[in-house]
Amino acid sequence: MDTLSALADPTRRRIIETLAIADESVATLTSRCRVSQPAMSRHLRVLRECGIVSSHSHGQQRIYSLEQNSLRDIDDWIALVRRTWAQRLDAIADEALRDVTTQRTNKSTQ
Amino acid sequence: MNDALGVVERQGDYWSIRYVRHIDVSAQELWDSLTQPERIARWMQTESMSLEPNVGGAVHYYWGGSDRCDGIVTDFDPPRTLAYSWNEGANTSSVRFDIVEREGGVELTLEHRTLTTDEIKGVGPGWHAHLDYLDAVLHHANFEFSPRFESLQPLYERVLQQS
Repeated sequence: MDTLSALADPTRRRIIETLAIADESVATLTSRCRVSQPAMSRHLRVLRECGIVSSHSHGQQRIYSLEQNSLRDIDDWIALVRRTWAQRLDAIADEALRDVTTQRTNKSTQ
Repeated sequence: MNDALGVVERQGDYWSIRYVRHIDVSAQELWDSLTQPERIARWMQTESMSLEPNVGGAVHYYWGGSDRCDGIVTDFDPPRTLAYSWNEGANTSSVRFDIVEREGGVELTLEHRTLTTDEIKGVGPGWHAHLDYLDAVLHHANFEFSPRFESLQPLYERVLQQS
C-alpha cells in the first residue's frame, strides 16, 4: 500500500497524530484510538510496511514511533502541486496584465 | 499458546493457510465457540459480531473504526464443519473450520484460502494469535492479543519470504 492510501483511513491518521506527540505502546494506541487489539495490530502493520512507523521492543512491550522522513513524499508532492499552481497563477496574471496593457495602448492610439 | 506455524501454500497470485490444533474440549463445546456470536466476539476480539447459523446466513465482524469483515455461510454442519466467505475489502476469500473427535479432545483444522499477498501477511499471524486466544478462553485463561500477534508477525514474514 502506498503512503496516501495508508493515510486514507481515519484510525491510521489518529495513530500518526498520537505518535507525532510521543512514542507509544500498542496498548496505549489501542485505547486512544478506541479500536480492538486485532484492528490496531492490522493498522500498525500497514503503517510499518509503508515505512511510516517503526517499532522496537522495550521489555515485554513493543513501542511504536513515527518515522520522521516517511511523510516527505507527500510534502514533496504537495510542494510540486503548489509550485505548478503558482506558475499557472503567474501565467494568468501575466496574461491579464498583457490584456490591460493592450487595451491601454489601443485606447491611446485611437 | 501453540508454536506450530500455519502451513502456507502459494497458488498463483493467491495464498492459502492451514492450521491444525488439538484442543481438549468436546466437539460441541468447540462448535459453540465457533458459531455463537458472543463467544466468537471474545476470542476474535470484536466490538460486535453476528453469524446466522445456516447456509446462506450472513456473517459480520466489526473491530471498530473501518475494520470489518462480511461473509456468507457456505457450510454449516454441526458439530463438524463450518465455512463462510470472508471479505475485508476488495478480495473475497474463504474460511473453513473442520472438527474431528480425537482421543482426549478434538482436532480443529482451520483453512483460509484465496488470500492476496497483502492479506496473508496479516491473516497468517492473525489467525494464529486468535486460535491461541480461543484455546485460552476455552481454558478460562487470560490472553493478550497484541503482544502475541507482534511476536508471531516476523515468524510468518520469514515463512512467506521462503514460499
